[in-house]
Amino acid sequence: MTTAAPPPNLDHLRALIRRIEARRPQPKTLASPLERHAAERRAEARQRLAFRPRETAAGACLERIEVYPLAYEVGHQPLAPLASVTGETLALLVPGAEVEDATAEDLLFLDIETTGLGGAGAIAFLVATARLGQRDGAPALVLRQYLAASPPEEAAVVDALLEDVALDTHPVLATYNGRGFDAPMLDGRATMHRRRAGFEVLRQFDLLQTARAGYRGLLPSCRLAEVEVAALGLGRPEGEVAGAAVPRCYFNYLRTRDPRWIEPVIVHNALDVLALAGLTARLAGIVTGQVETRGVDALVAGRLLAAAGRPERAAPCFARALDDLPPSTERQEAAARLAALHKSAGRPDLAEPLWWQVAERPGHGRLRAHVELAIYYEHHARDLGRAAEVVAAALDHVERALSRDDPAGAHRWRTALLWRGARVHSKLERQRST
Amino acid sequence: MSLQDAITALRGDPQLAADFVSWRSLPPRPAHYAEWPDALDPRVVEALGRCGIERPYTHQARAVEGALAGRHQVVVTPTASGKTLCYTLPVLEAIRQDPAARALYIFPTKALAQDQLNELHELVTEAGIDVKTFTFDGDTAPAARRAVRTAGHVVITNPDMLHTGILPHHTKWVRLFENLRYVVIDELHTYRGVFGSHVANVLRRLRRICRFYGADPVFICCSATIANPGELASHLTGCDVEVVDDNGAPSGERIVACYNPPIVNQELGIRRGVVRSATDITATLQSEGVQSIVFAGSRSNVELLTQYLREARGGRPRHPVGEEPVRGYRSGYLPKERRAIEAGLRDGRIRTVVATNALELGIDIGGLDAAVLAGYPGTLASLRQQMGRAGRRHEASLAVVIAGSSPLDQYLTAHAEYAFGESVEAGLINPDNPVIAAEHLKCAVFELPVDAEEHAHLGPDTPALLDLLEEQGMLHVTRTGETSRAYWSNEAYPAQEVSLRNGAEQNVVIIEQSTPPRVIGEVDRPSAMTLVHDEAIYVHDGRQYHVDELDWEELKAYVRPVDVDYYTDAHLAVDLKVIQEWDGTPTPAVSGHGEVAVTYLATIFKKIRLHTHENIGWGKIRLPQDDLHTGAYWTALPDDLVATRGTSEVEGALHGLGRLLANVAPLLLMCDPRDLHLSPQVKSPHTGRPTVFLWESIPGGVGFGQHLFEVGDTLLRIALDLAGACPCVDGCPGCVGPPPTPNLGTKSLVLRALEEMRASPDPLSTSLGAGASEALASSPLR
Repeated sequence: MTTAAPPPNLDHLRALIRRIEARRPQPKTLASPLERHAAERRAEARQRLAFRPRETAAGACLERIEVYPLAYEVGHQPLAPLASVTGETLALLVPGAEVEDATAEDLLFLDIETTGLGGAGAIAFLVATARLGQRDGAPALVLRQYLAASPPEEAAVVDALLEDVALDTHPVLATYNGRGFDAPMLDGRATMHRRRAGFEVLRQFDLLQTARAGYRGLLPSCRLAEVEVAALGLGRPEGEVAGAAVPRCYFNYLRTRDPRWIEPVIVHNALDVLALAGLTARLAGIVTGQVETRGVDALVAGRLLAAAGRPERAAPCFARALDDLPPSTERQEAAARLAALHKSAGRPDLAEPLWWQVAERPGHGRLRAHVELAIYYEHHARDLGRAAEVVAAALDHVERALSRDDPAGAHRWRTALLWRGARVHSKLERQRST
Repeated sequence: MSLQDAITALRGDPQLAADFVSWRSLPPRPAHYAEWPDALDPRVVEALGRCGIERPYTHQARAVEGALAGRHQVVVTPTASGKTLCYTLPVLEAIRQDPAARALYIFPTKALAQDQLNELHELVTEAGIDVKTFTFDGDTAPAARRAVRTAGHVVITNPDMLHTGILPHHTKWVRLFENLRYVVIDELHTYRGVFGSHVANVLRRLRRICRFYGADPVFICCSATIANPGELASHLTGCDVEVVDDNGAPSGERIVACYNPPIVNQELGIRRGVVRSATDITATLQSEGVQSIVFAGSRSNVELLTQYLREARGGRPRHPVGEEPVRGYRSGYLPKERRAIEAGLRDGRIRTVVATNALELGIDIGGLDAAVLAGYPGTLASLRQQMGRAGRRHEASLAVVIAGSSPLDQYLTAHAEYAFGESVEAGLINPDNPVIAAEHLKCAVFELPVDAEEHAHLGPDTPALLDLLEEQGMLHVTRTGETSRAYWSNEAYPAQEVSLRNGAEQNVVIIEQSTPPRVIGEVDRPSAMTLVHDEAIYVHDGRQYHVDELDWEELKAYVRPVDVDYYTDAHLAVDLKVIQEWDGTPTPAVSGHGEVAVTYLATIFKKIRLHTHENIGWGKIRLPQDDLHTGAYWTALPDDLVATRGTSEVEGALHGLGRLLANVAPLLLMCDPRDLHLSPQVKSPHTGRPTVFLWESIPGGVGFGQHLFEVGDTLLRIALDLAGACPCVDGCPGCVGPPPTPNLGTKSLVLRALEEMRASPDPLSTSLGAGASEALASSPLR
């Protein structure tokens, strides 16, 4: 059927669409981050970032390989300990990943750069992997990067990756949020190119999970950039690109073909996988005690071991953190966690002085510490007088919290405390009357 | 109870009887049966027997046979004629043959999807075939989505979710797309106009994704009665579709009564209001135990009627909510509440429901004994749908249409053959509208790179649009020789930027300030200005709430229950201003197109006493105005004519011209009448003349204003032809509209104006599409 519309000419459409587009915010153009580098350093960087073509059944993409000897330090963390990491240690870092029988060689560190967060239209234009291997007879970490210099080359990136990774050897996928992002994304990209991948069904060694268990509350966020500074002392080079700017750098590169747009992204991507390897070495060291941990590190080690269900190993870490740390919320946490471990180990007497430490300072665990002390005096020490004192002190804190308009569960605490107080007092009455 | 007793009571009621202007009876229809197609597995046939379905109706047999043979179907039969079987059986058969087979059901709303899920479960259980059915919509929990994607045999969704949630993520739906055998599109008639044009583009994208995965699904569509079901289905799906309309389902006798409320003010010609007339008539039905549905035009009328009918039942002592036999039903009720009301209607606990057209769509509430329409719903299709809510397979049913005082209502009362004859509106769409097609083309490239060979599948403007998108840096195009391939190269997620429906996504949540506070309902933003402004009495399911505060920033209304003897009615001032004229013609035929700002401003509200409807006070509404920027076309009456006529004549001609152009424009644009609004301005500040504005409902517009301007001469010529050929004396809904007062000569004045406005005296061109001509011929009553 014909419509009554005249055949729309291009100008007509152009005007219409301009009008629509004008209502949406236009993307800002970005200055290339590498502009700031001195010319000679740029040349050097370009040299280091040399790619060569990689042929696959789906055409060609670009590839570069870099070999890092195990003496290499990521931040202040050498790669060497990575080679001797056992499956048991890996299981401590990511509980539930079923990696007990894995070896360090099974770890496939991986990070991808994409043009968007999801959907079939976001492509994975750059993939980095790192894996332990041999170079000139010596163990080394081999870093590979695959780049699609234009969208059609993504098919070759997928093919090259699948060829090199050999998913049928069941590697352990070591990522940062790869369980939620990189793995499903790569599987989707493979589908787009009529390949079956299966990154999602690999064992997921997702260090985001570890970072959250170990560093939550200690850092402004658990982004890799924050965690690597804290754990590895790794600072990113000047001009390195922020994750959010990556898609625009790639699109600018596509439009202009100016390598200065893409080079910072390549560096960023390589540093991300190196950081993953460094982080694994570092965290493995602190949970096994191969590295002597002090201060916050000891708290992190304790948290990880506790999360992995190893209280007997977590307790000494918390004790060390307690010794090292100056008065702070971290120290309060170490005391509270250690007290809780003592309590569940059947030693409430060891927990008591720790609960007092927590109870006597302002902070998050204070009310809980009071309640724990009240329980201790009421049921274990059988000192009802002290139990009543503790409850009264706790109620005092609750009232003050409420008057500061800082309820944060204060109402609930008050109800529980009033109830407990009443019971302790009635017991006291009975005691006095007999 | 007996319907006959109720009818006798109505005809014998001294207050009512005289104002029933007609009673007509549509005879009962016997059932027409056929045999199950041979292709259907005997075990499925046996299972049907166990469900009490021995033989299919004729339309069921034809549709199932056609679908099993791989031919696309559109089934056009009335509500409750067993449409579900028409698509469920082919799907069951496919899954029985191949447990990997998949089907996608698309319903226009979430509520309908929910309904189907229940119905399917029963059938599936009986048939003993392992069929997993899931709904996938905005309410599907993220944790459940994986199971839906991989394990669901039948995925039930809506066009919006298909557009934003499924197609752009097709790689996660590999199982579905690789094995997709059937796509079911129910309530096909709702996909018309701009919305339908969007959905047609979504379906183009769906078929494209299917091709990628090597699937070629059969489309089975179901539709209420429209003039062009086959054409609409073919346009929507892009496939040749067979029409199945030999309805074999039986129906009992249908009695249709028209009631014209008595004149209460002879001088002004004011009639008794529809609400009170509907109350009296429905109260009589209630007292005879007749299960009824009342369609009240607006949400506030729903609440008013609900309240009155509860009182008519025996006064104030309220039933607990769960046992109340009189319920309201409208948008703004929470989904759970609506499901409970639907269930109550099915099992007969609820005896009377007062609803807006929210209950018009195929939500399963079973057949009721009677339908009372408080006013003409606006289109013939709606009229049929609403009357069709009353209807039993074997017993008689009653529909009472109560006329409002508008000229249109009055015209229909006087010319009942117009309303109950054969004619009905056509569903028109234009998937190739450049603005709509461009939006979906972006989505299509996002979903899969677009090859040159595909351009034909994606609409005639595709190559030009791709060039434009490339120019804007949204695409990366590779070219080798004749072939090219366009890749999405932008951070944006285009599906998110395109809404299939007309705006109004923002809702105001209505919160009862109890402890804990409770959300009792929601209302769309434009309506909130008049329904839940400060100090309004908001009525929800017949219970009154006082609005203590409307927080316009946070879109929250805080209410508390009250018991007062009045309700509030707010005035919404709608104003139109031309922001920018893009093009125009000078005298004698001043016309133009451009961007306009339509402003809505709630100004005052009245307090009106219940029952007596007397005005007992008023208040100011302090809310900022809401703006809609959109496209418009306008044309002014010729200066000569205006100079020689009196004010009321000019005003009449202006309204008549507006109505006529509003009748014709949708045919030229292939859109739905509701996609355009009419604003006549007696002295337009922009043109300085009496001017008719036709503006688009969609924020931003889709180019209708510009298009009407470009084909302006054709528009005027078709209008002239239509009105000139119309046999009515001085206007009817099909041409310049029914005359507000007789003997004004509006129609001849409009004809004269059109003669003068025509730029050239060419005969009517044949540029009108076939569907539009048919629709024109069948009287586009609005």
